[in-house]
Amino acid sequence: MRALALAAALLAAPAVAQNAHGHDGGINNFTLVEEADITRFDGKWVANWEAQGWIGSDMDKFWWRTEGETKGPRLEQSEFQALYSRNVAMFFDLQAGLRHDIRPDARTYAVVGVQGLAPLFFETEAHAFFGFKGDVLLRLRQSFDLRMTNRLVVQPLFETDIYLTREPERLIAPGPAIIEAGILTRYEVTRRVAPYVAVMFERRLGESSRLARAAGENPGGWSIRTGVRFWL
Amino acid sequence: MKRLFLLLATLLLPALAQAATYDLVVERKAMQIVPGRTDRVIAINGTVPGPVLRFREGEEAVVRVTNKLDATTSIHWHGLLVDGAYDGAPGFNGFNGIAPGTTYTYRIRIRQSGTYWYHAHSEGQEQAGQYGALLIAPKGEDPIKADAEQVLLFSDHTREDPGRVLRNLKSDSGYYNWNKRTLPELLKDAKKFGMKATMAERAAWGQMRMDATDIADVSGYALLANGQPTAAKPVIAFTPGQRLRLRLINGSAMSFVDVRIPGVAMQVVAADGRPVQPVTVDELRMGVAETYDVIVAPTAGAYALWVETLDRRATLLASLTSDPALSVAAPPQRPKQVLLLAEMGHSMPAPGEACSAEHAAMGHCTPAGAAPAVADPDCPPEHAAMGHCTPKTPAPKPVTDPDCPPEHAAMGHCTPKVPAAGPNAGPRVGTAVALAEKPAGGTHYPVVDYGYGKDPMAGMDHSSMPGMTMPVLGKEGDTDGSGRVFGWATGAPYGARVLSMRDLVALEPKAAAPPTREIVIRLQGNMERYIWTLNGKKFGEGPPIDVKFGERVRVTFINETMMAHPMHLHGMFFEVENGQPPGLMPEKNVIVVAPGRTQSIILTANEAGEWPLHCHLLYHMNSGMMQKLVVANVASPDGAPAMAHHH
Repeated sequence: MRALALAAALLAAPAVAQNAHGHDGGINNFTLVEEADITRFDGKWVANWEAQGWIGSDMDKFWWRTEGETKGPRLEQSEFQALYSRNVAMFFDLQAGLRHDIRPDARTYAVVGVQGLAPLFFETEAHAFFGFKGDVLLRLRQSFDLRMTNRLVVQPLFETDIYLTREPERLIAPGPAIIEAGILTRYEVTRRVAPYVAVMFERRLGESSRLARAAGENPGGWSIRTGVRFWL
Repeated sequence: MKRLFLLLATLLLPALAQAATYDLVVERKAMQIVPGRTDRVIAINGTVPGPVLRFREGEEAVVRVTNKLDATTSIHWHGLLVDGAYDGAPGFNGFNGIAPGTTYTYRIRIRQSGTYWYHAHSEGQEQAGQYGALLIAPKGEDPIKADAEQVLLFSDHTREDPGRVLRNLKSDSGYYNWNKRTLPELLKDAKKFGMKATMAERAAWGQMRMDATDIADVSGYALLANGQPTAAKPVIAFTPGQRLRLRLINGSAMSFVDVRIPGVAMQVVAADGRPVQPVTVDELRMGVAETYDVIVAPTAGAYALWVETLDRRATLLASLTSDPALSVAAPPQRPKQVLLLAEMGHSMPAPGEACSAEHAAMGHCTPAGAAPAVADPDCPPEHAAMGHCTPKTPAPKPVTDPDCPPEHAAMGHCTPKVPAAGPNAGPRVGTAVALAEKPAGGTHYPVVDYGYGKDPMAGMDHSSMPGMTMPVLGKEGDTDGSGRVFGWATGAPYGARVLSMRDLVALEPKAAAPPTREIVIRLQGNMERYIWTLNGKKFGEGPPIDVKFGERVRVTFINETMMAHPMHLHGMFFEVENGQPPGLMPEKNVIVVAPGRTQSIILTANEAGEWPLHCHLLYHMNSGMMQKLVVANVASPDGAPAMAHHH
């Protein structure tokens, strides 16, 4: 992990070297914990997190992202990304870097992708992951803010992992293997602190679902989670 | 004792006139500005704002500024003609700011008179409280006659750290907007305008990834007059029968303010320190960093001096009173706005409307046929246009100068001799609101044209330009389903005498040669990422703008953003091409360019040096909206460049 962070920091070095003037916006940083919740599920406490942030200038940023889940005392899934992010279009950044998973099994990927704001205010992330073990997948994620009031926000979101390779260790078959869709409703007490209720459907699809079931694993389904979204 | 002091002062004054000296100490302080809470501020000599500095034309001003902050600071003398090294903008003319723990001595030979101000030019320090008024008495007789005077320095105070404000904007550009359009409001609009039209309008904004309610970037402000919010009950005393000169300064970091004193007419007599021919107004809008001198002469009583920010999120009530026992009440607040996509401010007629009465009155267009300006209630214009009826009232002939038809005037080709149609002929009055009363079938609020630039589309026939039509729900001045009013500049009532930039005429005519070249500066930005640029470059990214010493240039600002930018040039005044004849164009140092509009100024580059040219919205400047304008001799007699460029 330390090597990974160092590599990303080196990639982001131009960002930090740029702050020569006082009037170019300077170096800023942002840390957003989009989801942080603990839910009782199947008789166990399930903790879920999803966070990302950056440090850098308007053009160049070091971008990081992490997500994961624990079930009872066990770490079920965890993923960390460290990326160099460069503003290439008005609303989009091109990103490249590394991803490291600890669970379900330890793996490292090279990452290339884009992140930004698509027309009609769709927050959009599209990344390709090239595993050092030869596995390749694409991840697409979109979300949108529907304001009921200036504080109550209904956020539909959709994410899918599309595998190009077969991963028996992760019970994955090629194709759209996992989808996550749902609605996260948050109340912005302040812009930076917003409790939420997430109604989510997360499931394996097709052969990946059958592989999971055959291995005695749950292919997924509905969940309701409550937590707090916050940024620093 | 007092008499003795006065006597001493009288004896000493001639000596002091040679060199007025001030010592300013800049330091952080915890201070109660809003009653009941303590905020961290940057004070000058212990106060926010700093002391009022008074100088006399012709003397040498010596100001020693001691920095007790833990960061580099600076003081810039806004609007003053100075030797570049004493302008106070770090990174220009070899000035690198005032290091912590040190004292810097400014020496300025005062060559002007009027109402000015001073403020920090480093990071966000100005927002934290580092500003004050600066007044200069003329050497000879003051062309502005008044019996008494009062400084009113308006500012927008926040308890947030300015660095944090910028970080919030960089992380979420809508951070401070609690007036965003919601889904229920979409349904209200759909009810009023139809679902199809509403969705098309929302989609167009969404395509551009812009927010129709982004009127001002920062909120959470307490509006102050001389450091006092409404809760501190600021009072301006006057003596009935006297002419009181109010020296209005908008020292806000981010807030345009609308200023009015219901029941009291204000006579604008100076703008940005320079005297202008008197214009009587009921209200005026002050761009950030502008100063206006107004004369009021109220009858005995108490009057509300009411100031509200452009986005209506912060207000200030002060009492202008001849009797401290009287109290005043705030007038009703103006509606919040929603921007018009098609108009980007003004002037593009709504679909199906070729040329409204208001636009015609402003000379933006000529009505096709005889569209009645004052409609017959039995025959509203839309029916007349369809041929359903004939209005009884004949259309009043628009006041035009035969040598200068409105379409030429709108293009800036000439200036009509006849003043724009106002409610009163005779004494000059503010003309931003063209119509004295609401015409039948007219919009709820009138179109307010503050004269902040020309509409580059004015005079064109929009109906013949496919692709030019942007979805709009209503006309400027209409209200949406939630009561917001359409348009950037709206809110003033019909018949109000509101100052327009076109109303400003220099008091003394001066020789004015035509400019020999044009410099175009596009005001651009990426609101979503909070990046603001001039000609696509942030400060430091592009080469400076070079102007020869003595050269007379036209600088044309083209505002391609949805926000109004108060553009400020250090070190020199410029003439505003506001439609007045050359020689009578007003001199200013800040010019507001409205969304989507184009405004030109003429600059005689007669002050050598490196001068910042920037948007005076603090967080726009700090995110890049600044450029260096270098005025230099092309070559000195020995052939070497006369000025070193610090790029």
